[in-house]
Amino acid sequence: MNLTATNISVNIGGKDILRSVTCAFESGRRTAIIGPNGAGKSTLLKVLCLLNEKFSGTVTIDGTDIRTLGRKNLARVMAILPQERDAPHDTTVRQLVSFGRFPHRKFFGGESSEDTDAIDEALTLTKLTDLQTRQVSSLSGGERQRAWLAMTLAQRPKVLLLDEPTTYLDIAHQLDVMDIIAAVNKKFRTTIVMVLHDINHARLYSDAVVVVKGGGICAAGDPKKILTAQTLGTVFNVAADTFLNAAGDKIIFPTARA
Amino acid sequence: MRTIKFLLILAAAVAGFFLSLINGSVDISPAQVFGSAPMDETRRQILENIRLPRTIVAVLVGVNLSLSGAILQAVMKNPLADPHIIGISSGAGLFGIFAMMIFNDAGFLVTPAAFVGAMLAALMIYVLAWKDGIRPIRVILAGVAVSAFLGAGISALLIFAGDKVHGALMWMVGGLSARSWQHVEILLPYSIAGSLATFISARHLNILQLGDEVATGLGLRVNLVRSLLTATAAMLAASAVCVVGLLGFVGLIVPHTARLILGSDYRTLLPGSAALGAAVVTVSDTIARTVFAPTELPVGILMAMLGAPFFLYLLRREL
Repeated sequence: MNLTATNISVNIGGKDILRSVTCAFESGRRTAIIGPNGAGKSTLLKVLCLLNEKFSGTVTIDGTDIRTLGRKNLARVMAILPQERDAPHDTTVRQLVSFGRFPHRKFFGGESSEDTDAIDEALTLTKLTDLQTRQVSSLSGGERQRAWLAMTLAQRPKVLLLDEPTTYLDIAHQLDVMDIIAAVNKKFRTTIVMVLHDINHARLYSDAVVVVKGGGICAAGDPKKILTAQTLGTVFNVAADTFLNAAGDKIIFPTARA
Repeated sequence: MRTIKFLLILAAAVAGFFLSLINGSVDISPAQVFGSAPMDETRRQILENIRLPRTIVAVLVGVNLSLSGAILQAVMKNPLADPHIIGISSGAGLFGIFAMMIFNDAGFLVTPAAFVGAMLAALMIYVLAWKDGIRPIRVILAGVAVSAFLGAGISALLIFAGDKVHGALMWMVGGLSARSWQHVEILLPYSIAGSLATFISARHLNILQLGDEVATGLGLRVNLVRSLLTATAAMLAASAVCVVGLLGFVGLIVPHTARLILGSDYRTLLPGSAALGAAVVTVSDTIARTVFAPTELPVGILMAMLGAPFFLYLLRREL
């Protein structure tokens, strides 16, 4: 599904966090939102999924204003993995993943076969099938992140929003998470919007990039064209070198504060 | 396994119920209670018009306060939330006593008035504690302030017009002395409505435990659900306060113990808390009124002696 934000402005306590931002996230593609701390990336993501309702402008999903959809209907097509979350310490992996079926379930009635299928599928995609009876609190950071990701996948979303999905993870687990996202995108044509900090992840794992700075969009489009050493200089104020890796992809390495 | 544990708790509640019927200043044998042995008229009167209503009130109060605490712990995201500690009971008490004074014991108006007081107290806590969402530590501090403020109001009312409120002292500590069928009638509708509303919200409470952002992302209208459930908790607590006064710590001890035994899934935690609440209050009341016989201790004193150390233990572990 296509996700479009038009003229989004957010003002918190007299301070403009976003100023008339317009951007489109194409159906079936992975878009990375990057930018320095405090640029308004997370705010933009929260507006896209109505976690932040205090904005002016419109967000549409395949032409329908998300404000008119209702929370539950929105949750049936869009999932969000926020950074702030909590689970009772005795919650098992499978239990956590099953919460992803909440928007699809009737007020009364138990788990349908479709629910069970979606939960099993999400566990398989995140390689957690063998850990499904373990308590989430007993998992490593990387496994825990995959469990929360699995919960959003059990929602079977058409649009998946991820707020810094690799933060606090070691390099190997970062790649695990990025690979799962890539696989989901490929298999279900899920529209992915993710806030990322790692420039090279944005280059290698996304089809489009939106660069946010100072509450506005300063560049958008093909990550290979936009994410250059020069952009890093203007957006993050750092000097960077560019290398070619074995696969022939350009890798950008920040070297010094400009 | 969880089913067995739940059945054990249920068995404890049934045992507590009969323990309360059998024990007291006049002993009634189990056989007499079950009707298989003859019983003189005095014993029959005591059983039917004193012990049975008192025990049923104990069960209902245990259920109400435990469910109220279980709900508040989820909606206020605070392991220490208990209707008594955070001042919801004080709000109910203040308005309840006030209503008793004006309406001259018109029982049916006292509980709605207490409910309004409980809701106002809850609102005060939210207003004081809300700053970019709910933070557990702020809830408890706001609750302490609200509780002290409303408690002072109650004390003032009792000093100025204590003669108009029957058993004012008993009311402050919470006790089941002389509770009769009339009190069962006051409590029962609120217990039934409140329990039903709570049980059908079990899945919503599970989702709320994941945090506001996750819950919202899963399609839960967090603020609406939080308001409705807070109102349910306030109603459960208010009806209990109207009948037994400011009985504390039940809503703290019971849901936590049930959580330790049954886990955090509200679908089993809620019925478990209700059953355990019934068991705890019936047994505690039986102990409180028999241990120093013929002097009857208000059950609130026993609950506070158990509850205060438990609170401190939780404070160290959870915050």
